[in-house]
Amino acid sequence: MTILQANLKHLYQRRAFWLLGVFLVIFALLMVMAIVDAKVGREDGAFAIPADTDGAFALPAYWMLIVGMFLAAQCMDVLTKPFAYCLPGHKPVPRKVLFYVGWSLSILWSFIFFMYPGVRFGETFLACVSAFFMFPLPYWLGVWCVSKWRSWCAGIGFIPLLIIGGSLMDLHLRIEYLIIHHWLWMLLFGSMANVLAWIHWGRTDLARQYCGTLWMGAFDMWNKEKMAKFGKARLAKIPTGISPGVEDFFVSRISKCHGRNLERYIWGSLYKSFGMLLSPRRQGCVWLLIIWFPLLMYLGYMGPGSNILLFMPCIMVVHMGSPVRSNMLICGGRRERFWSAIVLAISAAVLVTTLTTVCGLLSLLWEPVMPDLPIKGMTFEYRAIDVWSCFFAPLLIVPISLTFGLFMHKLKAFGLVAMIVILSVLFVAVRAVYRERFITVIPVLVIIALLCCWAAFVSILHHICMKRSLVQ
Amino acid sequence: MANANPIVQMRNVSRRFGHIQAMAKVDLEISPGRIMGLLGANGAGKSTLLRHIIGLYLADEGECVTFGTDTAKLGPGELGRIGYVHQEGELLGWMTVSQLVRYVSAYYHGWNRELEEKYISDFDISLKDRVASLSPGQRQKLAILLAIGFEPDLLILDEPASALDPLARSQFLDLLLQIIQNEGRTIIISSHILSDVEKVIDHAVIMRKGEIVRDCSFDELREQYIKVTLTSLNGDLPAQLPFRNMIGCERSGSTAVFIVQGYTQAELEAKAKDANCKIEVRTLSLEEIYKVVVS
Repeated sequence: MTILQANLKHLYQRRAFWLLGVFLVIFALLMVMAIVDAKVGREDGAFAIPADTDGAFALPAYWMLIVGMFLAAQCMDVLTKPFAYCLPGHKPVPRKVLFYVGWSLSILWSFIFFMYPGVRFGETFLACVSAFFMFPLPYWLGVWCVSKWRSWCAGIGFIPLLIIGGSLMDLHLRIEYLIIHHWLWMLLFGSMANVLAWIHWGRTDLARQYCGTLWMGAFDMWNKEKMAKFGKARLAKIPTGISPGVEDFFVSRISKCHGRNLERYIWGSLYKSFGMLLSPRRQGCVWLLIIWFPLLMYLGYMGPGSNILLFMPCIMVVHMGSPVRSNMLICGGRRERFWSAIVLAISAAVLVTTLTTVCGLLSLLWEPVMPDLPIKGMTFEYRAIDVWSCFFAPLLIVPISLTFGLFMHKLKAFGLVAMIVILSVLFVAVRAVYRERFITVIPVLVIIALLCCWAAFVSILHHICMKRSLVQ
Repeated sequence: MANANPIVQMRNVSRRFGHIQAMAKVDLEISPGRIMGLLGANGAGKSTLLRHIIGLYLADEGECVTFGTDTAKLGPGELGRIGYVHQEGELLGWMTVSQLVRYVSAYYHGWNRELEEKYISDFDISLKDRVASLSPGQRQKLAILLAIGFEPDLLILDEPASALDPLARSQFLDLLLQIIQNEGRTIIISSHILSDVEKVIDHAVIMRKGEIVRDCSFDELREQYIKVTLTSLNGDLPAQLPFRNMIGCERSGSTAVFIVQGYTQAELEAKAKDANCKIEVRTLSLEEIYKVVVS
């Protein structure tokens, strides 16, 4: 087996990659269907390039971007392993993998332009050549993103943004137009991208640069040890810590509680979980202005989709440090862990509910002044987020999130995904049944649900605290 | 082995993780003032045993009592007397060293500031550094400091020196020896670095596959196993050597080297004299004893 073959084995040896493979194949088939549909539908007579094909021929650009990210993640996985540095003849292999796969796929996808309707043979040939040089552009962009950010997850998070942003800006139509009408530019830019990638991935110091560096590879978010390492590295980079005022506040309360052990442990847990959050930081204010306010404005235009706001507490709460399982032995027994977890859950619920309710109230204030947004022939009207939902939903979601956190403490990421999927299904089902604002329509049901969720959380927490292992 | 007031008492304790029997019917008593070495290969059940003592794990079967309290019911009163350093060195990474020391010390009324300052200086730990940015060795030193700062009655050290460099290990051993001088303090130390452990322990517990295979004083253990070099004074050694329980016998012409169990030095010398042989005996190191016991 050659070194190249050994590297390509990565693509099928990990079972999790099969899922991604299936996704890519389905995505490819859907694109081919869209392309065939576009061709059949437009072959009859009047044909204007490119709007009539709906940009279907440019869709493989998105596909190539994902493949680029995926392959770069594989190459990085191998490059960052210290043993790879010493493997004889291994250094040129990442470039070979990226170019073999990238060019093969570009050739394959460029053939679809032979089906392009309403152009002459010579133009078709040029379109194919143009596509062959265009498709590597998103491919190398994907490769660049993953190798630059050193995290596959960060790259994957970028895809939905690009797809949504791309469709809003009709990017696929523009790409198709460029492929058909500006083949020379495509040839130029494509060649440049290929040459730059060839030079970059052929650098002799590349292996040295990546060897042993902390790399978040594909599906590493399920790897507890690696996540812990990544978390530590991230924490070490944060420039600002806990503020002296917050530290003094909590530490003085812990110190004053001698003889009142339970109270002391609760203050300690609150400090551990909320100390950083409560420390005012300039960075936090900037994030609030840059991310939260625009997001809140955007949510108002999403209609029922604005309820995504209610899922945010899940993310915050699942990642909240729990006092239940901790190997750091501080003088608190199982009883102290149980009660501090209860206090922490209530504090989190109050904090999150306040936050979402404020968001809801802000959206209510903004409703009269926010303009309508015309996008692609449709008008998006700003609607305030339902304040009652903002109030009740976190109270409901927080105990559910904490219960998931208790069960899946070793696989927080998996727990988070599972919980969001289950809650989404539940949410959609309830919406489908009641159609209206279900929380305001059936308050009794909501109160029963609240009581059930909290009771379930408390009983499960009690069982774990008193009967189960508390090792993290 | 029974003691009137043992600090830790385990009776018939078993613990299973799925298919793995991590602890099987373990009986153990630890008396106050004992410096106990807990030895065993990876996966032998050492950490599991230690976590039972502090109540992080609860036994599937049997009874585990620490400071006279069932470990399921250990409260701040008992846990406030236990210092614990574990091999992963889990600490609050987002705090700086000084913040973490301040946070932990706030829990303990009897926190020894002098000791804290001394070891921060000896261990060369920077107070301003973020805990997450410390090297594994530095983090381990900090964990040790946090575990001894309140001068606990029971100090549990689970692989405490695994991440330390030779100099830090030597400092750590000195520190342990100083702690030991404080009579009445009990220390349980689990480590793979047996050459270090043997300098401090007075009692050894050896585990294998979740079971305790030896539980005795270190002196007793050392007396049990003796390395013998037997040289014939008149040609080759007899085919049958006059010792029972010989382990790992290597013969070459007139000389044989082996380990024997259960003899006193006088008995060995008498037997060698009867066989017209010259005998050299020496006690085994802990590492050699461990290999013999485990194999």
